[in-house]
Amino acid sequence: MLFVVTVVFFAVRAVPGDPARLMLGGDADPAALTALRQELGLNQPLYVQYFQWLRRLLTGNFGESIRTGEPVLGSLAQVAGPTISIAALGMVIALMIAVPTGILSSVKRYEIEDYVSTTIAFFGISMPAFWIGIVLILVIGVNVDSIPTFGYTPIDEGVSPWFRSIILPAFAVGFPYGGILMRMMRSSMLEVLNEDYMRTARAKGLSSNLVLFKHGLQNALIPVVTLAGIFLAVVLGGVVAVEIVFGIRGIGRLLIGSINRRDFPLIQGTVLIISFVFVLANIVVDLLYTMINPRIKYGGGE
Amino acid sequence: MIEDIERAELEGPKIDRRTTVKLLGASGIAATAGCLGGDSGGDGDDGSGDDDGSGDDDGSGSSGDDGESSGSTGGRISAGWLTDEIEFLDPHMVDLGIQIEVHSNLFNGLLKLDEDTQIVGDAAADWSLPDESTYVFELHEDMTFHNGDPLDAEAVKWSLERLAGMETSPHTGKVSNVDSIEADGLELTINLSEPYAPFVSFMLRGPGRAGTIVHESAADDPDEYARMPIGSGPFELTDRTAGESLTLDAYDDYWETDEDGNQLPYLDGVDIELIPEPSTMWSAIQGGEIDYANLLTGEFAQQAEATDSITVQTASSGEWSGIAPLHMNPADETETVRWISGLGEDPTEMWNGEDIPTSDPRVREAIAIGIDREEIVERAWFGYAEPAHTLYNPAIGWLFEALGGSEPDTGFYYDPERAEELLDEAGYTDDPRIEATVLALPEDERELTVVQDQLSDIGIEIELDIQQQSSYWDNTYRYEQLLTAYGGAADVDPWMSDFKQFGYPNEETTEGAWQRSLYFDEDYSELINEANATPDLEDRAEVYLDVNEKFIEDAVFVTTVFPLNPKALGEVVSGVGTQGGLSNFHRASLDE
Repeated sequence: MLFVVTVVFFAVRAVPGDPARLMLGGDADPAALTALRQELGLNQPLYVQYFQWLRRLLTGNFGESIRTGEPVLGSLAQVAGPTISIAALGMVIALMIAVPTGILSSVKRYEIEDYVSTTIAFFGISMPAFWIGIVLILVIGVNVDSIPTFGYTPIDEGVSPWFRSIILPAFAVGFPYGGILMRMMRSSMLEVLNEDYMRTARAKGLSSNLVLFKHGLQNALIPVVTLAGIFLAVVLGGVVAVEIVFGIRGIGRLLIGSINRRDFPLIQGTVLIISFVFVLANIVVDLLYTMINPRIKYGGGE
Repeated sequence: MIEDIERAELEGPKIDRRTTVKLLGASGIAATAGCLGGDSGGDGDDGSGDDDGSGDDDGSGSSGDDGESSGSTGGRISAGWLTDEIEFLDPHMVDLGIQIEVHSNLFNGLLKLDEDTQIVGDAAADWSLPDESTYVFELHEDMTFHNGDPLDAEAVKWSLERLAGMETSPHTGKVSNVDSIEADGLELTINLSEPYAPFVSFMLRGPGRAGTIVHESAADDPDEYARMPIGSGPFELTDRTAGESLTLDAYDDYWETDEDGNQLPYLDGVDIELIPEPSTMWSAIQGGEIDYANLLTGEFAQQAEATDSITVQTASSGEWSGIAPLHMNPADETETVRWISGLGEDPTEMWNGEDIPTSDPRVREAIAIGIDREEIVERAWFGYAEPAHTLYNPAIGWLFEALGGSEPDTGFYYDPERAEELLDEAGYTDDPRIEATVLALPEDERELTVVQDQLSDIGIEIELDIQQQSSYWDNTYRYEQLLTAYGGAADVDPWMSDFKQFGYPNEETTEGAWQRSLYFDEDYSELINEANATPDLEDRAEVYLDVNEKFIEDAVFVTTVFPLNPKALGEVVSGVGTQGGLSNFHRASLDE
C-alpha cells in the first residue's frame, strides 16, 4: 500500500494543471492565484507536502478536499452508496447472464444455443457501458414511466424506487462484464468437459447433470472466479462512465470531478480506497477457491 | 438640472427610459422614474436584445408575456442543470455561468438585466449620478434576507466592502476604484476615485457578480456560506446534495410583487437536478421527468424545436469565442509575460530566432477573413450562434447596436481571395503557406474542425491540440503555439471583453492580465481607457467606434461566433427569464 500511496501522490502531481487556477477560473488574476496557492499550501516543496500527507494518513486522516473543505472520507462515504449498489447489482446481472449461457453454450457447442449465447456475449464485450446506458435511457427510460432516466434514490427511501433507479445503470455495467465472464465460462467448461475425469465420471454411470455440475462446473469455476476478480476493473470503469450518463453522483463521478479540478487530496483518497477495495476483492477471490474446491488450502503443510 | 439629467443617462441605458426620466425630472417627480422591473422573460423573447417598447419597465410588459399575471399558481418545477457539480454559491467567489444561473434566483443585486438585456434596478429602486464618479442608489423598502435581517444600505455597504477586502475573489478588481461608501437608511452613496463607466455593469446581480448582495454571515463561515448561502432573492436554498440536486423554496417574505400586486415568486419551489450528460438532459425533458433544461446542446435543441410539447428559448449569455494569434516573442518581454502568466516561471525561449507568422498583421487579417462565420454557425453550432464580426456580443445591447448590429460596418467578413493576397504580400507563398498549432478545449473541437477546413483552402494548415481544462488554462499562458482558442462569457460590458484580454499590461490596474495573444499596444490601451472613463453611453459608443476600428485593423484577435444558449421549457412551464443566459424563476409559473 505504501507503494500505491507514493505512486498516487507523485503521479497526481506530475500531470500538468494547477488547482488554484482551476478553482478561480481560467481568467484569474495573477495576484489572487498566488494568494490562493499560499492558502492551500501548494507553494511548499513537493517532499514537504508528501511527508505531511503521509504523516496524516498514518493517523487515518485522509485530509480535506481543496475545493469544498470537506473531509475526504466524509465525501467518499456520501457517494459510496450508489456505486456499491450499481456495482453489486451489475455483478449479479453479469453472473445471471454469464453462468447459465456459458454452461449452455459449452454443452451445446456449435449448436444454435451456442451461437446465440456467443453473439450476445460478443455484443456485451464490444459495447462500452456508457453507450449501453444511453441506449437504455432512450429506449426504456423515456418510454417506461416507472423507470427514471437519471438520478439515484437511496435505499432508505424504499427498496422499489431504489431498485428502479439502479436497474438500468446496473444492466449497463453488468452486460459487458457478463459478456467477458460468459466467454471465460464457456472456454473453461469446454476444457473441463474434455478432461479424462469427466469421461470416467460418465463411464461410472453418473447422471449427466451431476457430472456437469459437480465435476464439471466446480472445476471450471476456478479460472472464472480468478478472472472475475481481476476484471472487477471493468465494472469499476463501467460505473464511472455510467454514473455520468445517468447523472448519479457516485465514487466514479467524484473521482473524475476531482481529477478535472486537480483536487489532490480527494484524488489521492479516492484512488487509495479503490485500490484497497481491489486488493480486498482479490483476497476474497482467493478465499472463494477453498470453498469451490476444498483441495486448495492456504498455510503450512499437514 | 439639465446637467443632472444628462448624467442620469447612465441609470438606464435605454433611450425610451432616458426620455422618461427627463420628462419626469422636469415635472419634479424624478423619484418615480426608477425601474423596478421583474424578470419576466416570456416565450416570445429570444433575448436578441431588440427593444420592443415594453422593455422600458419589464414589470409592466406583461401584455407581451403569457398570462403570468394570472397570479400565484404555486407548484414546484423540476429543472435540469447541465453540470456535474455546483460548488460555490457565494456570489463573490462565483465565476461560472452555471453557478450564476442559480444564484441569480437566490440573491438580489443592486441592478439586474431585464428581458431586453438592458440594465435596470433590482434592489435599487432608482439611482443617479450627482457627478461622474458618484453613484447614489435608492433602495426598495422592506427588503429582508432569508433569515429575516433587513436589507438596507448598510447591508449593501458591508457586502461591497467585504468584496473589496477579499484576496482570492475573481471580482475584487471590479471594486478596486471604489474610494468610499456611505450608507444612510435606504440611500447608498458610492464614490469612485475616478469616473469609471463599466462600474454600473459590475453592480448587476447575475453577470456582474460584484453588486450581488451578500449577507454578513458570509464572514463567519465562508465555506458554509459558499455551500448554503443566505440571500434576499425570491427563492432560498433549503437543501442540497453535493453533485446531485439543489432545493430552492419560495421565500415567503420576498419583497417583489408583480404589476397586479401579486406576491412573487409564483412557484412554491424549484428542484434543480444536476445532469452532466447532454443526451441524458434531452431524454429527461423529452420523457417529462424535468420541466426545464438550463442548456441543451445544439443537436438536441434542434430535436426539441421539432417537438410540440417543448419550447426552446435562446439567449446570448454575453459569450464570445475565437482564436488568439500570438503577436510577438514572449521572451522579448520576460518580466511582463512572467507577471501575466502567473506561473512563476520565465516565458519560453522557443521563438528566439524563429519566424512568428502571426506577428505580421497581414497574416492575422488573412486568418480573420479566411474564416466563414456563417458556415461555422451552421456546421458547428447547429444554428445556435451568431457570427462574430467584431468582439462585442449581443448581450451588450447598446454597443452591439451602435456598431451596426449583426452586420457591423467595420468587422471581419469572409473574403478568401483577399486573404490569399494578404498572405502573398506577407511573403508566405509556399505550400502550405503557414503551419500552426491551435491550443483548445474539447468543446472547441467541432468549431475548429470547420475552421481547419476553411483555413486549409487559403493555404494555412492548422493542427488541433485539444487539452482538458486542467492543463489548457496554464498552457494558454505558455505561448508555445501560434494560435489559442479562447473566449469569454457573461460579458455585459465591453470592459469585460477587452480590458484584461487585450489592454496594455499594467500590474496596478490588472489591465492586460489575461493576454493570450501578447498584443501590447499603447494606442489601443489609451482608447479603451478613454472609453471606460466616459460614463455617457452615447459618447462611450462613439469612442468604441474607434476602439473597434483599431481592433479590426490590427486584427488583434480572430473572433468567430457569439454562442446562443438554447434552454428548453417543458409543456407546463412558462415565464422563465432567460435574458443574459440566465434562468430566472421569479415569474415562472406552471400551467394547469
